[in-house]
Amino acid sequence: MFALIDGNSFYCSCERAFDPTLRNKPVVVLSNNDGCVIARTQEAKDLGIKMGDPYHLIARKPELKPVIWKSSNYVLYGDMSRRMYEVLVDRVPQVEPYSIDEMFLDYRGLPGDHVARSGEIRAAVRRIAKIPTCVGIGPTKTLAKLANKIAKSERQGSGVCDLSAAERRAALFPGLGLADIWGLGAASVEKLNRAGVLFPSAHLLKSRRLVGLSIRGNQKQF
Amino acid sequence: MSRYQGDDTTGFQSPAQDYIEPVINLARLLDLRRPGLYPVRVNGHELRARGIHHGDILIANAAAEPAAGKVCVAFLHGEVVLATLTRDKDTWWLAPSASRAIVPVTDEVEIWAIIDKLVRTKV
Repeated sequence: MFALIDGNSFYCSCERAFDPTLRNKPVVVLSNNDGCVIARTQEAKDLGIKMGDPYHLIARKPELKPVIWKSSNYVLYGDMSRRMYEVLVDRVPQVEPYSIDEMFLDYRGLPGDHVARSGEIRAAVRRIAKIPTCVGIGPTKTLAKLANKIAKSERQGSGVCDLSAAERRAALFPGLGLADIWGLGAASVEKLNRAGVLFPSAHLLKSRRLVGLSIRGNQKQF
Repeated sequence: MSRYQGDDTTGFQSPAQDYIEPVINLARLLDLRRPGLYPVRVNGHELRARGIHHGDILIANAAAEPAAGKVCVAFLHGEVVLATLTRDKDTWWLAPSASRAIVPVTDEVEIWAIIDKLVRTKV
């Protein structure tokens, strides 16, 4: 079993870790030279700010007056990512950093309940590394990533989504789109949709042939 | 690493050549690589009675459990403050300074980290 732990609005959470005035406020972190939006707190998302919005086009919108705009501070984000990683390696033998705020945890062979473990790890990262996170659990890294996405989408959820049981996957998958799957981009999704595959299924995730065909198809410009 | 290696003498070979060590590493001594440790600079004189002076560097430990009598970093009404922790039955209280009222720790108040070391840069 694998888990993916992912920092919520990571850059904004790093800023919030040291500044209590940013609590419950819409906070946005901008790219280098304040070009565009690269991180948003839930409050900022609720105001309609999108990933990649150019700062100079939205900064003076009256409805965005309460937003706190932050220039990016990668020295801080790198250090907070290090803290998150150190908390994880103290608790799980195999940790694989996937990006600055996402890390795969190898739960294979670990005793006890994976959901309980994930909850404890989340609490430790929050308390020690000061970063709120969500955890997704699944039998593959792809499913762990999908579970993480589901955990994130549940606003008042526990922050942990467990897709380890086949029945749970079968119940959830018809409500999802293919774009939710790691590695499937717009072109692959369109191709699969045209082939009649509209949502993830155990059959699809197991069939390397179908996914593989679609991906190879892209490369060969079928 | 020091520029001085003890191996580049023009007169006599240094008898200490094989014994040169790097300059003492305070980060290592303070174990600063642990993920819960945050060095913080004191601003103000409120905790002078506790021996904590303006300008001191405190090592705040977010992994440490709160305990009565310990000094902590707290988020209090949008401010970052140092306060002494006390406990009354099931409630933690913060005593920020002699001039301010003590405050119960509720959802609005966060005990951010416990102070467990002090570095004084000016004596």
